[in-house]
Amino acid sequence: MVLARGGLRKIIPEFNRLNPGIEVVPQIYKWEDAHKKLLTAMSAGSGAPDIAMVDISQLDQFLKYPDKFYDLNEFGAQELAGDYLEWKWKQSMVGDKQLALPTDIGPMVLYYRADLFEQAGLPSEPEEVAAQIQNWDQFLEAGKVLKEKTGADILSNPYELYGAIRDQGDQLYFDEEDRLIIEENPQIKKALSYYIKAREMGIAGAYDQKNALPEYSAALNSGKIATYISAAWGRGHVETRAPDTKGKWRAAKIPEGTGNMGGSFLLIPKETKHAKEAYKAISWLLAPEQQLEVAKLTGNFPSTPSVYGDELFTNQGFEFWGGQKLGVLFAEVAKDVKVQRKGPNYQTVEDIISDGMQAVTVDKSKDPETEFWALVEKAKTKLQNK
Amino acid sequence: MKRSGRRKPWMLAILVMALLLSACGSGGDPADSAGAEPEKSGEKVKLQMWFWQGAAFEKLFRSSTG
Repeated sequence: MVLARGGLRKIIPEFNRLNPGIEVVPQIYKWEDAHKKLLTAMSAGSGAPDIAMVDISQLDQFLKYPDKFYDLNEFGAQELAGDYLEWKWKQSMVGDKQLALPTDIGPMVLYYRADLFEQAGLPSEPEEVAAQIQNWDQFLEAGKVLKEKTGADILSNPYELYGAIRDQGDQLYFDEEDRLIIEENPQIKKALSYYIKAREMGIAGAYDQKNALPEYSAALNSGKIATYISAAWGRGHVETRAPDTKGKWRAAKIPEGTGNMGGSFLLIPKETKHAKEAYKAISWLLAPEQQLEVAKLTGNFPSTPSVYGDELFTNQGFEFWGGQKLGVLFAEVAKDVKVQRKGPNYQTVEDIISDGMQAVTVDKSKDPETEFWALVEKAKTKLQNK
Repeated sequence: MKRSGRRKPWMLAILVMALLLSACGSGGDPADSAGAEPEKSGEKVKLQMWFWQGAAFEKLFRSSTG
């Protein structure tokens, strides 16, 4: 099963069939292109579609132009608020305006190789893992044991740990006024300190998940990497990239609380001549019943908690995961996600830091602390020149 | 030879064909045409919907909702 591909598009034909007067015509773009094109259209004041999908990491750069999109409350969106997770719903609000409806979410969990954990004498059942690895120090200790007993790295890359800890904070890189707060955000300092610890302990690989996927996949498939900290959709990644490890993986709560990675929103640009029809389409496509259908078809995890009681989430075991009922875990952690504001320039900063820290991960002669703060300075310069 | 001043039937046919082709558009980049008067097929309203997919999922750091 390939997850997280073609989610919403699969149910568009059904919407078109039920609504003979409307035809939703999907246009598919690469992630980067879709957001760039929309931003260009917004800036130019022309060229926008009737409905646009925007990823959570990019959302704030569009929400800073609230007048360019319809306030969906004009069509009665406020009546739908109770259908969605509150934190997800609020992410697309600007003041009282509701500028988008939520698609899926990415509640984060710890995927791990139960067989390697067992081999190392570590807890291997999900409840035991969650109970005995409750904080990141315990996670690093487990990594040390794992490395000694099995030779496997507990992390593909120390930056994966940095990202997980960063995303557990109340704030990320920017505050409400879009001021860069990396230097004063204790969670970022904590995330960096654990990056450094994992690197120094020699329990993390240096696989470049962004740019060297085949090498990373081969390591994942051959048992060189024992965990993957990711979202609900990440299970598809493991199944696709590490097919030879079928049955050996499990998932548990991550230490110190969950986070959210990914998920999107649908917006209606003001340029459309058919806002009413566009709203009819998005409110149908993202209603609980349809989110459940998409989850069945693709594995995308719904942002509508009323469907979490469906058998798909309460009773379906997954063979690749040793029969574990992953939906139970995802639904549980989904409710604990905090609302975080990324800000319109989040990705600009994150790209600079993640690319720079990848070079540091590979080159052991570089001092991560010095390099990290140099990258922050680089990000500041880039923001000033924007 | 004197021109008649009236269009011949085959000229009208070419004119109609050209108009029809122009109305159909190229089917190319939607950004080139979006924002203009929405396409209609009879009484049907066509809504252009932009999705993203794929590459980001391959890079692991983002979900792939589309």
